[in-house]
Amino acid sequence: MTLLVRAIVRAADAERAAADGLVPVRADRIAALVSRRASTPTATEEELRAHDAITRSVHDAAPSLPSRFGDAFVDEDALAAALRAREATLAAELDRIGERVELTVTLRWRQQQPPHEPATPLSGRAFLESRAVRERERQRAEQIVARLVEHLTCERAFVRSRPCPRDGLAAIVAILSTRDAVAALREDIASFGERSSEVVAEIHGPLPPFSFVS
Amino acid sequence: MAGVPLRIVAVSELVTTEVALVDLVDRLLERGVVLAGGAMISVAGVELIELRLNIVLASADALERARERAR
Repeated sequence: MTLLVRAIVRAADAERAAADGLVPVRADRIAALVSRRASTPTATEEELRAHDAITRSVHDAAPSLPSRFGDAFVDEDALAAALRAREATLAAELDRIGERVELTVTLRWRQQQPPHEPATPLSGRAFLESRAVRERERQRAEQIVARLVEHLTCERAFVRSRPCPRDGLAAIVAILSTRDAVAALREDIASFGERSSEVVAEIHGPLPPFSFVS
Repeated sequence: MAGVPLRIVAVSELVTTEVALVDLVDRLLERGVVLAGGAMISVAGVELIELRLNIVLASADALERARERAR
């Protein structure tokens, strides 16, 4: 038997949030919502989509901290011990961000950029030139993210970004928001993308705050 | 360690399906709370390397420098 952790919630919310066959495993103030599995899970597309749906469902039902896929334990005692070891930190995070949601913005270059990993080996000079091109792309991406953040009506502290995470993308930006501010944020982001000559903005969410938990 | 090893199929099998799945991989395998899990990278059914999600990866010489500082 394996316990696959889906999310962390306040102990008082555990029963209410434990839909879809989830089982709560409790510490004093917090609880983990887990799926009981017969065997070790594998990160297939089906499993990832199921984890995505479950974490969203839990977060819609109660304040939660979503788990990274694959956090698994052999039994309830082992999981309860791990919960107790981090209980103070996780309880504080639940208070700080548990009720908020995350919008993820994918900023996609309108014009094709050179690939990050060249298909053929490069000479020394070509390698350095390639690195310089990538560095300029990263700087442009950071400037675009800064402009996006200025354009939004949210606090800078609640934004996390990754410039140039893969070919074709300027950045992936995660924005932490209250639920009642989501609609206005989506409008701001959409208008930024429409006005930009450099990037297209794709908005995902609202999601559980995956990018803001430790 | 309490965590159970997790088998992960080769990432290339995941990223070629559709863009939305790439976003899922980014979010669900790289972010979120980790209590004590482990991961097993597996390619074509052969388990290659076990990763612990809560360990620090460092090069051999970085570990050696840390050991020297500790003396």
